[in-house]
Amino acid sequence: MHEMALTQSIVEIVEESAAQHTVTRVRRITLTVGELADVVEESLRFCFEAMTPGTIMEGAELVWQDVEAKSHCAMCGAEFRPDPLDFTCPECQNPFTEMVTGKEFAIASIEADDEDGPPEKTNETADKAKTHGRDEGV
Amino acid sequence: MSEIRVEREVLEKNDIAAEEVRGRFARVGTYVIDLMASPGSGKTSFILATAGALKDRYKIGVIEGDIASDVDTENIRAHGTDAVQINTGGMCHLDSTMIDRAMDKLPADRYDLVIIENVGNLVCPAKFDLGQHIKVVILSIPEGDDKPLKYPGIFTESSVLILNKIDMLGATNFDEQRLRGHVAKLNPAMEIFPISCVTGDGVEAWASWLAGQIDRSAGAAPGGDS
Repeated sequence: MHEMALTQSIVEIVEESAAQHTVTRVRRITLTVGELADVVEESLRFCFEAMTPGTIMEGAELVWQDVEAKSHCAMCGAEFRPDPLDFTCPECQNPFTEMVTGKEFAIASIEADDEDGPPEKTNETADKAKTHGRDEGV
Repeated sequence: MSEIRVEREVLEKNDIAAEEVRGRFARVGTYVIDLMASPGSGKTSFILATAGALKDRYKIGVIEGDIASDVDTENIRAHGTDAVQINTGGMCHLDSTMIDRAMDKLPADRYDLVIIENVGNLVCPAKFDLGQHIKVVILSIPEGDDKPLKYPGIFTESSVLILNKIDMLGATNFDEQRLRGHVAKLNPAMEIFPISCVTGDGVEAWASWLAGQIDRSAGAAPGGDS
């Protein structure tokens, strides 16, 4: 159950990114998740719902982009999708292979409403708002 | 609505803090082990056996991670080794910022070897870099030889496997060759040391391998061998 700690990190990173871009509301967060990253989707979604009320990302949609695992064999040059319990090269049986993708767990992007609410800040960044006023309930 | 590219690893803060901890250890030439295992696999007995074999040669400190209590810390101190407790208050693993704070509480200015006893758990600790030199996982014989199939992550992230409680081999159907077969498919470079903290079998082989690692690391450190 390290999903609680992972969610805490997601909240911090999203808040930092939101602060850098003066957004008022985060609507969608896209995660890239390697198939061997050992992140339990259900558990992470549960933690996210529990931890985000009152934050800028309350109610945001979590988009889960799976990344297939891929390994490389330096002996024969094969590229293959590793068996989760056997990383041996299927072509030449070399056991020392390198996993290239499949363990990542990252925030790819966020979609957010720009600052267009009641003017509570006095800086000028508010003119950047109102590019896309698309308001979909998702 | 606008899209903002973020492209940041979720655990990047832990990784950055882990690099700082690694630098802190490197500056004083401390070799660090992150010790991971299930509850009841013999982590504390293993630390005591390791410290017993090496404490005449090296200054050793222990960071004890537990959800609650300090019984292990008291036990280790009673055997004459410096130890400091981290209580995670329910968290299933240690992270690198906890290690930085714990180091401030260890009494000596420097150690040759610091062993971090992670929270008893075969899943979460594998994912968190603590700034260690090596991750060591203990598998005790009664847990069974199929654990790499159930918890592959910890066996791929660790570089050493301690097979503990080999004195109990005869009382179980644990098959060491089968275990080695599972490990070889996930992590063929893994060093495996079968030991018993009760009889002392295998402790010497592990301790002398570890001594080699500590000496090599101290030789490579900026102020090493001075």
